[in-house]
Amino acid sequence: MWWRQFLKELRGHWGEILLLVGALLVWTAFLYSRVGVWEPELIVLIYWFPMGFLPLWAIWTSVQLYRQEWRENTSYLMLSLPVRAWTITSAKLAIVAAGILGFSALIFGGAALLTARTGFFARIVDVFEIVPLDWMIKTGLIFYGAMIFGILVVSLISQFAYVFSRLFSRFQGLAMVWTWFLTIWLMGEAAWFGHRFLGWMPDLRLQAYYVMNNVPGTHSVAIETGPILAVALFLAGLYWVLNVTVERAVEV
Amino acid sequence: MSVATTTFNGVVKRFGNKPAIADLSITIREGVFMGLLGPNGSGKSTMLKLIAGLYRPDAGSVLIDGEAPSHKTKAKVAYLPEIDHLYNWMTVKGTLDYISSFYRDWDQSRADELVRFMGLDVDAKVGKLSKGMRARLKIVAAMSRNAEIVLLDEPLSGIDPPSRSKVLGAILSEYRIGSQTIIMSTHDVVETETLFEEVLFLKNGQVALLGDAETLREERGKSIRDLFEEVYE
Repeated sequence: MWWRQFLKELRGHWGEILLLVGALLVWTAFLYSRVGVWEPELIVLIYWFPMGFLPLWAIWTSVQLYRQEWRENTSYLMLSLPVRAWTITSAKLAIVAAGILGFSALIFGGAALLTARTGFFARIVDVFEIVPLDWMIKTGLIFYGAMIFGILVVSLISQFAYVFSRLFSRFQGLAMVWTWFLTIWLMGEAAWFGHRFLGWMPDLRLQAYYVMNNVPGTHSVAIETGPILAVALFLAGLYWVLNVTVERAVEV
Repeated sequence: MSVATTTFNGVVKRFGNKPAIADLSITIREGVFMGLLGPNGSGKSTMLKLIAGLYRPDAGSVLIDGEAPSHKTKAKVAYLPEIDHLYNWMTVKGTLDYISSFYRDWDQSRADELVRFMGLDVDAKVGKLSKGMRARLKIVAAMSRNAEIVLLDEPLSGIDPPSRSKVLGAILSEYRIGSQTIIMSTHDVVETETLFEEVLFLKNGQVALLGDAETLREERGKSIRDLFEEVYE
């Protein structure tokens, strides 16, 4: 059932996904055509521009995933299905996750192509002689994972804000925006609570790499786990409230 | 197979200050074909949406086999809304495949038979179907299940005569007397009068008249259509 729901969401937003993939390919092709005309650094730098749109895409899509159901009256079908709300909400979140993974993979692929084609890679290859490859991969994956997680958090908050706004018969747009900012603020409060009261938890330690006068070195960076745990619990609670709202409160 | 009982206990449902359902208490007998009658705004659709779990009562309770509407009760209820609620980008086959994947009581052979009877093109996109054809598809989706309760909200509303005839034919042929409750809302009594075993007349969200259709005809010496005019004159 979940897979069916996921495929339904995917097919329902197929046009939008293809449009964005097309736009990304056109952007890559355009910059590819500028190789030899523009400076390599400029091409590689502005290539990453679409990455900044990923959170905006996630917010837009998260709202549209629900808004379309009500606008096109398919909420009648969605809410009459004999499934727990998590089947619906998780499929909608998974579409955003799949979209971010797909778009970012495409962006990274294009970046690799342009970096090699512009000769930019040859200019930075020295870095690999100083900084170990395994550290770069590990750190890259941590940052990538954090970025994906961050965008999914924004997606969850956007989905919750829209669904919660459906409980109001008037000023739904205002209610959605207000809920969105309030939830972000509450998440900040949860992080502060974690910092204040869960400070006794052991820190996460990451090795940061630095190069000074061509001499590499490392130093340990401590990351507090208290705020992370508190925010994780807050998000779990938010997801639970989203499901309760879909299952027991929201109407067609 | 047992048939679920539907009970309304002092149910109130308001939209703004206006009550659509006003302190409604009623138990719908199992295994009957009930006509839910009344003019526009009498509370028919609201009542069906409350059973389907698409609206929540402001006061009182709606119970299906003793349970408030939930994912469990939704498995027992087939609901056909008056509006178009299917995904326009799906094909007829895609729509039925999608819906069938959620219901254990889906009867695929019956669905295939109904699709043929309705003259639906399985490869056609829902958004490209005429209003009459979409009404036929909605009936296929609702009647292909062995649901204990079938809620039909104005299934004949605004559709052409050939489609009306097909829709009525499908409802009649697939109704499992005694083992299924059908509640069909309509304000068009002429075509549907003979279908109903029981009738519930709603007026301003309250019961205006309720009873066995045949008994009412005999006791009052009037057809259901004439009773409709009497109740709402």
